[in-house]
Amino acid sequence: MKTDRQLIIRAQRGERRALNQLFTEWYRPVYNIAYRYFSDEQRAADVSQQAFIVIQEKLGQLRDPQAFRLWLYRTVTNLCHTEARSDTARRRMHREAAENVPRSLLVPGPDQHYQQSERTRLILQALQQLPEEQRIILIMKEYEGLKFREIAAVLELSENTVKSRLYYGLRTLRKFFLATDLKSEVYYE
Amino acid sequence: MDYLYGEMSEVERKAFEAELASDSSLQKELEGMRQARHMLAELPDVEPAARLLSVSNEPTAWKRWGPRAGVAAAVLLLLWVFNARLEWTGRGLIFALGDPSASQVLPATSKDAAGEFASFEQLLERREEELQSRLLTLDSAWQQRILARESVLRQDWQAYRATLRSEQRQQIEQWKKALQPELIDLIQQTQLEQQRELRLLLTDLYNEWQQTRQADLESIQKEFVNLYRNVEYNQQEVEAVLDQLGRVGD
Repeated sequence: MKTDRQLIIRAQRGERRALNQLFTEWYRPVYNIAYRYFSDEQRAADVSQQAFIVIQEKLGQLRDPQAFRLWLYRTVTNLCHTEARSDTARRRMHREAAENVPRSLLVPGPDQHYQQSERTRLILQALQQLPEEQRIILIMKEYEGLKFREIAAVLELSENTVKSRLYYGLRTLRKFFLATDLKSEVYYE
Repeated sequence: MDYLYGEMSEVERKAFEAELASDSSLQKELEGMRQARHMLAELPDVEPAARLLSVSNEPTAWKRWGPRAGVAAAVLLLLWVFNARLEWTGRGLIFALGDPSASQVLPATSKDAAGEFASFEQLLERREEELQSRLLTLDSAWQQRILARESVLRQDWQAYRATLRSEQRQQIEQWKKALQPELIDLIQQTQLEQQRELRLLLTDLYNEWQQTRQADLESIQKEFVNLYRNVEYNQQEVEAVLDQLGRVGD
């Protein structure tokens, strides 16, 4: 997703309409990153709102408007890590990720309903198996489509470290899917 | 990983694919990674329930309510420290601080205690009546004392005003007696002085009038003398002329 440079500049000047437009554009991506990180709608909403509060307060400090996208990812990542380390988060981490399949993922249809929600639950559960540092890289790569160098810039790591963590993350997921006998839809066709 | 995500250059990709073609274990691993990615791709985007955030010019809720919440927390902490509590005694709510064991609590279920409570209530009522009676007596006595005091004060005030008026009159009389001769003398002196001045003025006027009259009379006399002389002269002249004429006629 690309954001208009002028929009960022206007938002940096404190234009309310520009800020609201920015929020509208980025709320869903930010929410999804947080949701995939926590598998929890409430915490995803909390982190999203915190992220936009940070944007509102600190956007003016961003020197290069074109760096907004990566700056936002860094903000969200930091907020996710902070939330994960909070006491509340620790308590919630003991919950089963399966209980948190969002309402919006529940597809209508009597036959597919259970299968779909079950697969979603297992994928979310698989993501929760990963260490945080692997999970966030996987989310940024698989769902946000960032390049390795961009992820490295966001997390302030070397590209090789990013690739290494992603490799281990994918390998863990593969093992998890095999263990749960969860196969891709491709194999049913 | 670069190959898996399509981030290799053309040259690198061809070299990697050449290696991949001859390495079955690498192929197997790559396939496993792809399958994992396929699985992950099944997780769709989540639609947030609602976007709760919007920007306004007002300060954030935390900035607005933070200090108030802090004060409220401090008050609650103080109430907790001082063991604040609310108690329902059957006759009303009691807000109390301190050790609850120190307060006297009437056991509601005890029969003896209920009797004691009833007698205590009667005692309280009697005391209340006594107090009211004493209060009324005191009130009446005080009212009488106040009225008496008020009457005395009114009399004192009237007497004082009468004395003051009498003194004022005496003082005025004294002043009159003391000042009257002086005043009469002053008036007499003024009158005499005025008479003297008037007399002098009249005398001066008379003298001046007399002088003027005398001068006028003298002037009139002179004029008459001159007139007479002129008439006499004219008569002589006429007689002379007549004589001459007579002589001429002769």
